Parts: sequence; structure tokens; C-alpha cells
Amino acid sequence: MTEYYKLGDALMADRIAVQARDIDKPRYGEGTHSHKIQFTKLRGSAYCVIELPLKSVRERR
Amino acid sequence: MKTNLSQVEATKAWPWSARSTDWLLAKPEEREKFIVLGDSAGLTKEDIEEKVRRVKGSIQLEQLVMTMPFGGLEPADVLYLMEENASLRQEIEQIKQKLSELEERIPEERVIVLREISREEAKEEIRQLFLNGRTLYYSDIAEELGLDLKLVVDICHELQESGEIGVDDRVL
Repeated sequence: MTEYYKLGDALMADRIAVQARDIDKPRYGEGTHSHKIQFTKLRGSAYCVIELPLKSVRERR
Repeated sequence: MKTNLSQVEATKAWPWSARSTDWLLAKPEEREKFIVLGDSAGLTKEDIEEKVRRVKGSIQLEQLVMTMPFGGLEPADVLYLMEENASLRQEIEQIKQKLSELEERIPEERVIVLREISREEAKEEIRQLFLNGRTLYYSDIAEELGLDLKLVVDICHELQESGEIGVDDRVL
């Protein structure tokens, strides 16, 4: 698992979990092809991770 | 004193008695008769008091009507105000509908108190959570157990490496 600390590092995924001391209210906008998009900012000890669907291995067998 | 009952009945319908009209229509020389007799002719004291009360009530009612919002308005103005009122009500309904739509879009705020427990305790709780066979994301675990997201990610990584949990390919 890689952690990115450098300024300008980016994450891109369908589902990212975030945590921070303060999260701005989301602003709504128009994305490409008339898709709606939301913007927000995390401030203070922000942590983001690309989510994974996890399951017990024993259960799957 | 004799009372003319038909006259009393008539005055109940309208405080201005027929006698008053008679007085107005009468010739000047005949008016004296009305003045002498007055309205009390054929009426008891109680009847006169009743008439006075009705006249006062009528005046008060008239004053009330004059002070009502539409008291001094023309019918066209009243009609315009009614149309304006209807359109404003319609606008309020539209605003209410839009407001409820916006409220639905705002995510519900929920306070999660992060517990400060040892790493080993947290690991055990996460293991227990996976025992029921559910597919869970990092955020689900952090929310359900009230744990720090980074701690959850670290522990899940450890559990993945030890082969206890794995990525559910069916969801991807």
C-alpha cells in the first residue's frame, strides 16, 4: 500500500473514503456530458484512501 | 302603555324603524306628531332600550366593516388582490417543493465518536465484523466500529497479507 504525501499528488478512483478535521460544504457543478459533479475541500489531517470491497476469505470458500 | 307588536317585529329586522321613514316622508306639519310621540309611541321602556342597543350595534358593525382590509377598495382592486394572493400561494408551493428536493440532496449529518482503543483490540473487532460474511469497505468498518480510517486501512492491510480477508471480486 503506497501512501502519497507530496504536494500535488492525486488519487483517482470510483470510490474514495476521506477523513479530515474539517470538510467544506460540497458545491455542485456540471461535469462533462451534463454529469453533475461536486467539489469540496478537506482541511487538517486529511486522509484519503481508495476503497476496496473486502470479505472474509474463510467465508468465500 | 300599549305596544304595537307588528311594529316591534319590523324593527327587529332593521334598527331604523318604519316610523323613521314615515317621519321623513311626512309633510312638515305632520312631523310634529312624530316628534311629540317620538319612537316611544306604543313601545315600552324595554323596547326602546332594545332599539338603542341595536342601533349602537349597527354603528359598531359599520365601523368594523370600514376598518376591514377591503373596506375602502374597489371590486377591481379586490379581484386583483385575490389573483395576486393565488399566484403567491402557488409560488410558495413551488418554493416548498424545491426546498424539500434540496433537503433530500443534502447528506444527513451523523456524528461518529472515534474510540481510542489499542491496535490489537481494533484488529480483533474488525475480524469479528468480517465473520458474518459481509462485504465491507474501509469506510463501513470505520463507521460501524467508530475507528480512525487510517487505523482501519492499516489493520485491513495486515489482515489481507495474513490471508484472513481478501478483495471481493464480485463487487468490483
